[in-house]
Amino acid sequence: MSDQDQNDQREIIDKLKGLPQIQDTRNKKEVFSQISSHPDLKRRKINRKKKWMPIVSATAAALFLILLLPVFFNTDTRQISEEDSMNEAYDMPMDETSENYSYEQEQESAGQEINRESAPAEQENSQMETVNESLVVHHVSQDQNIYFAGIPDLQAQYVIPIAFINSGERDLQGFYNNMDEYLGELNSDTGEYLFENVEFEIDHSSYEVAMALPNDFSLNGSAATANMFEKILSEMFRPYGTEKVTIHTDNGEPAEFDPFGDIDEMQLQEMTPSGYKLYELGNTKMLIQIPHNDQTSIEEAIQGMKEDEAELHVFKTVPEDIQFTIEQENNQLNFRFSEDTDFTEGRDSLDMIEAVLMTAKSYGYKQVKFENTEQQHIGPYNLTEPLPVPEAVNPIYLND
Amino acid sequence: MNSVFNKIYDEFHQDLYQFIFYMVKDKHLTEDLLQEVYIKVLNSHKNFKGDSSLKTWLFSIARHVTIDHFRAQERKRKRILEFFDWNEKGQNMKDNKPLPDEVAVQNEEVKQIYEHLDKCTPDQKSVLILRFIQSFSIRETADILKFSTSKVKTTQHRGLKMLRKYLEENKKRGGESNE
Repeated sequence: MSDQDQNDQREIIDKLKGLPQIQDTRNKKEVFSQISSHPDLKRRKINRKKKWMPIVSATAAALFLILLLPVFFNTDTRQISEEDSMNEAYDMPMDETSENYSYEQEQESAGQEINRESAPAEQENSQMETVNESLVVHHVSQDQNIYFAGIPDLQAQYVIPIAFINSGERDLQGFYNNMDEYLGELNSDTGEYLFENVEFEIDHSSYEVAMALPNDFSLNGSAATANMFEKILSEMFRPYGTEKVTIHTDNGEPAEFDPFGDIDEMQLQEMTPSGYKLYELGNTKMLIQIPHNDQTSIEEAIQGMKEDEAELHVFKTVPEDIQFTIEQENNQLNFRFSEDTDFTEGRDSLDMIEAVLMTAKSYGYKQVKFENTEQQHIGPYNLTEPLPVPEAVNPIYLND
Repeated sequence: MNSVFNKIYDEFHQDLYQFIFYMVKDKHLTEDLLQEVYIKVLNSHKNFKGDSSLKTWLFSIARHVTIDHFRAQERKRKRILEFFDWNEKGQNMKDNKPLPDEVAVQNEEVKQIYEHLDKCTPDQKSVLILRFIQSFSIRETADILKFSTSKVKTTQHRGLKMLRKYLEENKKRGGESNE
C-alpha cells in the first residue's frame, strides 16, 4: 500500500471515529417493562407447563421452596412481581440457543418437510421430531432452487457438502458471490472458507464458470489446501454439469495458484466414490464425505462407516453390530441386513439409512432396496420399497 | 429487577444500542431489535459457558439479530421488485431515512461517512462499526463475527476502500458542480 493510500485510510478511520455517540434515551425501567411483557417469554411459560407432569412439577416446586426458604428471608422485600415472571422464564429448558437459532430453525423445517407421519401422543412428539430431522433432500418444488456448496471440516481433512435451498428466482452468480455470508452460520464449527473475495461469473444457460481471484490471493502454498479448494469447487459446480472453471486475477493476469503455479483453468472432478459419516461439532451436525479411490468397493466403504474418527469430530453412521451383504441389480443397490441384525426406529437408524443412500449415490446407483428388515418405516422412509438416492445432502433452507 | 438484566443493561446496553443503530440507522427499529437481543439472551443465558467473554457473546447475538433483519428485508425487497419489475432501477433506489439529530449537527464529512456506510456489505459495515465506532480490537471483532483475524483485516480493508471510493466520487461531483 502506498503512503498516499495509508494516509487516505487513516483519514477515513479518523472520520469513522468521529461519528457521534448514539444513546438510547429510554430509562432502564422502561426497557425492562417492554421486555418482560414480550410474548416470547410468556409462550415459553406455557410450553413448560405442557412438558412437565403436574406431580413432578409440584414435587420440584415444593423442594425448590424448601431449599430457598432461608434465602427468601434474607431477600430484599422490595422485589416486584414482574421480576418473578422473568425469573420463571429463565428456568425454561434451553432448546433454542440464541446464536444458532435461525440455522436450527431451518434444520427443523427441513425435517418437517419429509415428515409424513404424525405422532399419536404428545409424549412421543420429541422423539418424532428428532427422528425426522433429515440430513438429505430428495426433491425440491418447482419454485425452489438448490445451490451446491461445500466447506472443509475444522481440521481440513474432508469436505462437508451443503445444499442451500431457496425459493424464487434462481440467481447462481448472486448466491456464489455471497456464499461466505450464507456459510457464516457454520463458521465456528467448520474449517476456513477458501473463496474469500473470489468473484464468480456464471453463464446461467451454459453453466460456464469464470472465477476472478484477488491479486493477493494465496492458499499458503499448501498442496492439501489446494486440493481441498479443487474438491470444493467441484462440489459446487459439477452438479450443474460444469467440467472446468476458468481462472484469472482481478488485474486480468493468470492466477499464481500456489502450489500449482500459473494456471488459467481448473478441471472439476466428478463425484468421487465416498462413504458418509457424521460430522458433529458445536451446533453443527452434518453428513461428511469420506472419499475413496476407485479400488474401494461400496461394501468396504460402508464397512468403513462403522468407525469413529473422534479427533476429527467425525462419527460412525453404521452401528458396529450391523451385518449386511451387498448386491447390484442394474442401477439398484440391494442392501440386505443379516438375519440376526435388528435396529429400531430412531435417530441413529435414520442417519444410517441416509448415509447409505448418499454412499450409493456417490457410487453411481440410482436407488437402494433395504432388505430383511423388521422395521418397515424409518422416519419418512418406507423400507418395503426401493428408495431413490437423494438429490442433495445437508440442506439449509434460506427462506423463512 | 432481574440481576442478569441489570448487569447487561448497566454494562452493555448503550454500546449494544449504538452498534445496532449504526447497522440499521433507525431508532425505533433499534429498540425492537435490541428487545429481541434481550429476549434471546435472557432465555438462554444459562447456556453461556464462558468460552467467549460476555461482551463478545452479547454482540454476536446482536449481530445475528441484525443480519436476520437484513435478510428478511432483502426477501421483502425482492418480492416487491419482482412484483413491479423495477430491477436495476429499483435496486438503486435511495433509502431516505432522516438523519438523527446527533448526526445532523455534524459537519458535511461526518454526514457523508454516515451515509456511505450503507454502501458497504453487512460484513464490512459490522467490522467498521465494531472496530472504529465501538473501538473493539481485531481479536474481539473476529470473535464476535466468528471470523479469522485475517478475514477481519481483509473485510476492514475492503470496507475502508469502499468508503474511500464513494467519498472520492462525492468530491469529484462537488468539484464539477463548482466549475
